[in-house]
Amino acid sequence: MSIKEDVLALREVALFSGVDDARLKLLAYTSQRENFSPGDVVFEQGDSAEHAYVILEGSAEIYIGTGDLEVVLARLSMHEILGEIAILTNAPRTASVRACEELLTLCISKDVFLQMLNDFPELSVAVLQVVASRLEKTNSQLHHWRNVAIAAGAR
Amino acid sequence: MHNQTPEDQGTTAPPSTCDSEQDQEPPPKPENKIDRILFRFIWRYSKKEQLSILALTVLSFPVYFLSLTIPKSIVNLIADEEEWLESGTRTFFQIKLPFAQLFREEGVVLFAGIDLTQLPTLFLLSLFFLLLVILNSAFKYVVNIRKGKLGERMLRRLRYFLADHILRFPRAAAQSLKPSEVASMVKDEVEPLGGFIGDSITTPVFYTGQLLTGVIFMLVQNIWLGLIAVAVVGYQGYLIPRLRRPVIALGRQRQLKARQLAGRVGELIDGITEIHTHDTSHYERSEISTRLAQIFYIRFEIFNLKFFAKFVNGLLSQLTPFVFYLLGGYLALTGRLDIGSLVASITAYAALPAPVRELITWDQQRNDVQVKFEQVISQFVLDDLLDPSLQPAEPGVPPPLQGEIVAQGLRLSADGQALLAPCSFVIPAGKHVALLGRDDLARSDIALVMAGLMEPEGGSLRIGQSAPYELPESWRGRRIAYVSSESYLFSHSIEYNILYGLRHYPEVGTETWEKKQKRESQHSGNSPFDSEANWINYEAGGFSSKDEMHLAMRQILDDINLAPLVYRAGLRHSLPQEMEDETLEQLLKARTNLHQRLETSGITSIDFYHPQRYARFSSLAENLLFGSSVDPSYALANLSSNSVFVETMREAGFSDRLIQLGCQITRAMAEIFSGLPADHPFFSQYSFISQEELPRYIKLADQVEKSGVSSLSPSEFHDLFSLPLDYIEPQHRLGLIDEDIEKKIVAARGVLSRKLAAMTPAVVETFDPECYNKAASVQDNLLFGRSDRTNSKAEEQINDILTKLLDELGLRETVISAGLQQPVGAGGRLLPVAMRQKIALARALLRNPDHLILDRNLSAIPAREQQVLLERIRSRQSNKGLFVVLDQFEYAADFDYLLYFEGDALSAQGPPATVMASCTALMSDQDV
Repeated sequence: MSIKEDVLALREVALFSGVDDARLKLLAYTSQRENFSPGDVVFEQGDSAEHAYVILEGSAEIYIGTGDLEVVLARLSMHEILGEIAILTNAPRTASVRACEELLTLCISKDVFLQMLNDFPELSVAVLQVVASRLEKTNSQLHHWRNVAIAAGAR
Repeated sequence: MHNQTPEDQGTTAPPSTCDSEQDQEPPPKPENKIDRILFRFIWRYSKKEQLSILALTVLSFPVYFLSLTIPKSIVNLIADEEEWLESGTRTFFQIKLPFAQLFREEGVVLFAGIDLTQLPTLFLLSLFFLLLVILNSAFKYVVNIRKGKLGERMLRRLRYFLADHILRFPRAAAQSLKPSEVASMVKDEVEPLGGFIGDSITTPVFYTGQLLTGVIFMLVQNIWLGLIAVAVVGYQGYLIPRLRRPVIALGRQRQLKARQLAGRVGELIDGITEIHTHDTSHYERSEISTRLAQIFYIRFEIFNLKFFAKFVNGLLSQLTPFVFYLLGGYLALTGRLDIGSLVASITAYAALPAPVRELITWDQQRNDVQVKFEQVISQFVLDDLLDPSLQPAEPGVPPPLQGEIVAQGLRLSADGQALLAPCSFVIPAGKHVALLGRDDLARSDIALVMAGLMEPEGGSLRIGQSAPYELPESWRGRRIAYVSSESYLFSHSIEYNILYGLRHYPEVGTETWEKKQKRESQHSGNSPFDSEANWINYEAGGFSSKDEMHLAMRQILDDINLAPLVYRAGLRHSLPQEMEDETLEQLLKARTNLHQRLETSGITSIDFYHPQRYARFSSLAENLLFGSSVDPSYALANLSSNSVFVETMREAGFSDRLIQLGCQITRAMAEIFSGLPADHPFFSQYSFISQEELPRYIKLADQVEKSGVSSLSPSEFHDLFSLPLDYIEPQHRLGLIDEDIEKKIVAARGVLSRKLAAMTPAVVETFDPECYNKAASVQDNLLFGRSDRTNSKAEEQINDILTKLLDELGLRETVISAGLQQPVGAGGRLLPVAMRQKIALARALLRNPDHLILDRNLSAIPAREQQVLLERIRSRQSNKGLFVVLDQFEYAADFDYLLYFEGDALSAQGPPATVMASCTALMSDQDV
């Protein structure tokens, strides 16, 4: 487990696809690996956002609420990134994340992430693309649910 | 319960307030008066010794004189060969009866003596000379030792006197002083006195004797020349002290300035945070410079005057021979004086300047130390010093202080400013009082009056019959406890500080000092008590045994939530040296137990130490040293500069490998941080090498590649050598540590361990799975390995398991008692403020005081906990006095009595309900 492997993993992350190797190496070096056992909570809804996580091995699920009211929103697996939006918006976590199995992550601190965006415009553009595509997705979901709601109201 | 104080005791200090269980004579109070005139002080305390030294000196005169005359005899012996040739022998050691000629012309010979020829005479005289030399040196040796001892003894007395006075300073006076100024007086300013006191009497007597002999001799030779010499010496004696007078004044100034400098230097340390916060370091530098300049110019002026006096003195000394030559020569030429007398006078005069010079030097020294002495004494002899009768040394337990607390027309002021207008209140015995207020100045001061630390300006405050400020400390100091937010901790262990409040009087028979030490202490008027004796008076805290006291202390730790803090301190530090082996054994067993539990809990992210295995989560340095340093030069941070370490790495053939690793790290840093702008924050945060240094390191790495390790200079070697020592593979992930290197590190570790094991005293305690490591912290000993720092959840789990295990094994108490031995640092600075405040509170609670006075003493503790603690304190003090200065109205609701102050007046008092009802307006103001 060296930063070379971490660089290879980061290369697979869509967000960093446009970033050159030298930058990825710096990112890998300034980040820390963090392990989680199955069921461990990576972060909780309402926590302040200090890190983003890249999944190197295993998978994690995003959920909101607790106990019976818990709703799983998504399941993320290898080479996907977690919690990057919250550190951009400087807001508390909007959902919780927990390890589904043995989870190995590369934990990027907020300072490093923001400093990277600051230093490397190509990364900023990549983040912008991700955020834009999420917004588009959200819009289309909104559109979809509006139609559903209208249909339900008409019934 | 009624007041048990006998009524006739009144309010003045009773001679003995304590029920002495030991029924013993109080120790003699050391005599320690001080005179403002140094010589009186010297004479009062050392006349016997001074006289005996003087006698010894006088005794040594004949020996000295003989040792001067013997060489002449030897010379004569050889020179007067003719005389010897006549008779061949001479008679020695013949003893005749004195005055026998009066009745018999040839006298009476008691001992015929020994006839000796020339050669044996030479031997005899030479031997005699040798004997005299030895005797003379022996006299000097004895006299010097005695002078030195006398001086040091007097210095000890003086310093003790000063310390004794500090202990008698009223609180307000002591607080207005700068500690470093006072320390500089006690330590430095009186120091020259020690050297002077031994010579203070002998020197003037000795040299005056010499001077008089010389002068008389001259007067005998020729009355006129003698008178001239006397006149000049007399004028010197008159003029030189006058020339010196300004020097003395300047000396006084210099002393004052130097003392103030010490005070300012102390302030630089105390105020270092403010200096850094406000960027005032340059102001402070210039301020210090100004002071140094003042000292410099005063010194310079002193030099000017001093050497001018010396110049005049020298001139006068040479003037006399001038007159002798001129006038004496004239008299001789005109036949009125014979040449022999003139030569004898001139020779005698040549011997005069030495004693004169010595006397002048002595006088100068005397002036100097007299000034220092006066200066220091005047600072310590204050008008309002506590009377010694207020600090009697008494064993036993004084009667309780009970009864109503009555204030009558109590009026307080400070520096002429009124703090409290006359007020009166009556509080029944055993009630809890809260002092609340708004914009008031008086509450803290009433607490001080209650604690006996301050006297009111007018009126009185009494507990039963007694006013606390009039009671001797041996009474109120064992019955009343006072804690404020600024309560002080002494630079010692936590336990020492908690038990400090019971150190009133030493237990009889526990002294460890020898008779000699005790006698010497008495000789210098020092304390009659041995500080190493057992001073903890558990009975004064109301305990029947030491064990009971310790149990009570333990309960207090729990009551005020101090126990968890002490426990943590115990875990994170090494055990105190005097720990029993049994405990170490237990902790060692706990280690095995912990490892099993961690295994069963499925925690694998931990690497236990094993001499033959590389510990992945530890740094390279930790892996190489594989132990805890005892000697700080072997601490991890200092290893790269430690010559033994570096040399051993060379011997083990590992130093080149470390250099290689250093080069690899350099290249990796160059690659990772390439293209980053200068002063990028990542450098300082993440890089092994700073931005400015990186190019140099790259050059070094190139150089090693081209010309090998041997081409490096020692400092370059050190730079590359130290680089990889902090490296931890799982953390830095540069892929430098493979199995091969791990093996080499373990091998190098072995070589180093063997070398370190042979060193005495031990510098490093190596990790041994079979042994408890006394140099490492308790936690490190139990865990005996490093956990993976990338697994934060596991680390929490490990801590939980550890705590649970220690509880189960009953080792929590062991860890707490280890924690109690941790040092608090100067003024408690090693500990967080909240912990310091709790320790101060524990110290007061352990005394089980009749009256506990608290002045915002929990200010650093979170509000919610404050309230809980206050409740616990109240239940501990139930049926006893409690007097609390509070800022929060809501905490006071359950108290028995409230005193509410506004401005300088007591504006409301009574039970909380009444007071709160009568000033709901105040309450709402409070909430705002």
